[in-house]
Amino acid sequence: MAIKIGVDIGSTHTDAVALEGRNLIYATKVETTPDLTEGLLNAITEVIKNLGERKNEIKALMIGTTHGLNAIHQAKRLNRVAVIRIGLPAGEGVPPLMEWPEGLRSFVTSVHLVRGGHEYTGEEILPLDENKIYQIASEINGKVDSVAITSIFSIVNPEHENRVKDILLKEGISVPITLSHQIGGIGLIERENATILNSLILNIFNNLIQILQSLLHKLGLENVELYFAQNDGTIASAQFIKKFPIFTVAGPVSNSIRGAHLLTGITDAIVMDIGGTTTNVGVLYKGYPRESASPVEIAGIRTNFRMPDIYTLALGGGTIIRGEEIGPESVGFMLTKRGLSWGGDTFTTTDVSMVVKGIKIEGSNPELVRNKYLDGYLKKIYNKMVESWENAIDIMKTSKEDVIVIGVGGGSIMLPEILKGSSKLVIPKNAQYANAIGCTLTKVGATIERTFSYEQTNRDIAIKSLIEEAKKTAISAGAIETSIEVREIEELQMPYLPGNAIKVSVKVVGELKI
Amino acid sequence: METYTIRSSDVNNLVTGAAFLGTGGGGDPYIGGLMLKRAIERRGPVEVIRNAKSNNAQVVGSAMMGAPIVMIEKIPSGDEANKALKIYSEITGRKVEYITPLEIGGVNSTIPLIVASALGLPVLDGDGMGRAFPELQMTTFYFYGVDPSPVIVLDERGNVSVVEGIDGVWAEKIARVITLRYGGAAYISLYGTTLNMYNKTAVLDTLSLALHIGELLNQIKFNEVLDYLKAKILFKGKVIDVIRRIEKGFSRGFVVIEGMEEYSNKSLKIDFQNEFLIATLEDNVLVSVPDLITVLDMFTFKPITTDRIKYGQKVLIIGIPAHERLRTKEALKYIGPRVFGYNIDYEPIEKRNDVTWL
Repeated sequence: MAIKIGVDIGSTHTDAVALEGRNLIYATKVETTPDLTEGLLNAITEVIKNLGERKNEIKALMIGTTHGLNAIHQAKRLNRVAVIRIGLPAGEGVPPLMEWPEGLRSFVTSVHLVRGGHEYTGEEILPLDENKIYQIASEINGKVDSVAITSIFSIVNPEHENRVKDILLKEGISVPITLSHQIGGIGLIERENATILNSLILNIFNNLIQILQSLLHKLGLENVELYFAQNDGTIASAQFIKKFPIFTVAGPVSNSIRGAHLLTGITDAIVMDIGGTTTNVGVLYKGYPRESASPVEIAGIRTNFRMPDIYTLALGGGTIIRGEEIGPESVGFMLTKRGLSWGGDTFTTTDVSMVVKGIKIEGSNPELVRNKYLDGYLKKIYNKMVESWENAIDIMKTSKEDVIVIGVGGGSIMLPEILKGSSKLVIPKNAQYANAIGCTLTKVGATIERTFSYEQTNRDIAIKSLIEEAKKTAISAGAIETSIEVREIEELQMPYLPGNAIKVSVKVVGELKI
Repeated sequence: METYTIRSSDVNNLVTGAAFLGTGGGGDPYIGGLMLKRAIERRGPVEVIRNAKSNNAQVVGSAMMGAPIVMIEKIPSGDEANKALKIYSEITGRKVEYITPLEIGGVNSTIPLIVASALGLPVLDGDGMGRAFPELQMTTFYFYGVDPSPVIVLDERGNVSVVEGIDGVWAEKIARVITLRYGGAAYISLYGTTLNMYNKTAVLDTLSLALHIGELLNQIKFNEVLDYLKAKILFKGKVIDVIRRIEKGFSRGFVVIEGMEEYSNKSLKIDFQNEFLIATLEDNVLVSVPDLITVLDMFTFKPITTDRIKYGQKVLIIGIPAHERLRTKEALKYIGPRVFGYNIDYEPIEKRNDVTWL
């Protein structure tokens, strides 16, 4: 049977697993390195070495990484990008890149506003100014690494974005071009921001993919396919992610929610992923992460592409306790050196939980904690921790009924037997590797969001066309065509607009082609 | 007469305060804020006039009309509202000397300032609602005798329509059809009057009010906001249900909030139509339009709009007495609870609730 390797980069640990079917045959945790890549390569190398001769059975390598997010936060090694917005005379009131941090803005070499764009009905606001596009092509040729194109209401009618791309290609622009309708939903500024961010990080992923491929080559693994975890809890091929790296920025968070589903079979629950520094609380909805309805900020920039709805608490296994204060600082991966129970000098949440819950962890000695603190104090601290988890559950719940809570991540051993607001608390076997397992076993997916006027486009035709588009995207991301199924169709009416204006989103998933 | 200046650094306070007074409607202040900052960057700060002495100087209102959802996609060029105002002046032959907002809330507190910045005209510190309402005739200008017509309706391409309604309700109906034909968003100039009439009809000092409240909110000085507005916390709790439906193009529905702390074991229902309209506690109406109902996040004190409210939010419900000019018999004919389909009469919030308002 084929072996798949999954790696998930967390803020403190990089986890890697090898799975044969659904059987975990090897798992490891290594320290996450500041540049992320080193720790990633270490984890992969270790797994492959431990597989010995069986390494030849490896068919796929799946990676959940925050490389994209880190690059944006650090504003380093990014692409030189030309930004084109179609919609003049509309749109000028808020030009591109307003309120962007200077560091990121400096990578944008030029901004062009062009006449064109569409109405919410799909009609042209005005015809596209093609002459201007030819002129832009000659101006930017050879001077940029990528181009980001956004057009008003391209999520209703992408015609002008497509046309601009065609002209640029015809004029010999050979750098990658990102079109906004392939990235985000309604909201021009937010969609444009996400499109530019995608363009900025293209080379980061190109390089990462090259490094990974040369590592596989060095290890004698020529036929291993490479995949990346996406924000929506699915994976996509390296070829696809080369074009749309922005879809990976929340991959690790979504992996844990998917992993919670895959490890338990539960389709609807609250998932608490407790790592070294934080607890990420998300909602598992029909087997996938529930997505955020509000704009999500990345490095202070508003974006609107699909991201998981996550509530983050500064409470993890390495969180430091001072008096009655819990966190927000953490010892992170230094827990087994600095934690009190390991003979260190720092009092952490894990130390508290071990005593109060009576957990045993190899190599630690909770007596060291007991000698120093009174039971009453430890219980009080632990109750405070439980209270913040319960509060987080309450914030993320979508109805007043109690829900199933699934605990994953290395810190999930700290959870109590039951939490207020939960009907049952499940901590599955291998919970500490849920992220890596989630990204290894998940499906290939694609989500498309468009708006229609059902008076102009028949509802069935609209939805059918959207499913076709999503299928095509899923196939290009690596799905087997015959296995693709529609997971979700969501229709949302838009207030104030006649003509039955509807926002529709379709999510499809399929089996991985390996 | 007092004059002060609105600069780029004031914009966040202004839109936060306007969203607070917008009672859940008026759209997301984000785009309005960005547009105003951009306008001030390009053309300089805006002069605002308080306590202007009554005379025959000409005042005109400026606003955006239509669907906020169109505006977050088809962002204006920034010049539409200026053009509408210039055309107003040409058609009526009146030289416009002052600009006024029609409402305070969301985007429409910023549009008149953008126009003012472009044309180098001052803005009057006041508006026609003292809050947000969904329709053109729902202004104090109209209740006390100012005709909205002619209404100049313009789009970003430069299409212009002039609406002469037989009354404000007709002007609203016709202008709305044109707005839809323009693509769901239009820019309007209307309610031309004299400074004399303006002082008699407007809800005065509301720009300063929005700026002041916004500043306090951004500094989390929440109790000072309550004192300043003679407002009161009516309820504290968690949103446990939100029901929405689209009715005649408007987003209508209600929110149920389960009480916490001193309000536990009680639940409050708030009906909305774009804006929050009526708050009911166990069959007792606590507040109704035109008094203001504002829903705030319990921890950040940020206003929550009707389209963003959802299960699980911990909220404070604030009741704010409406301006006296919104509470008269003439005004209630257009903005009382019956206009929105409720079978009750308006009672001022301070009479409905056993509280001292000073």
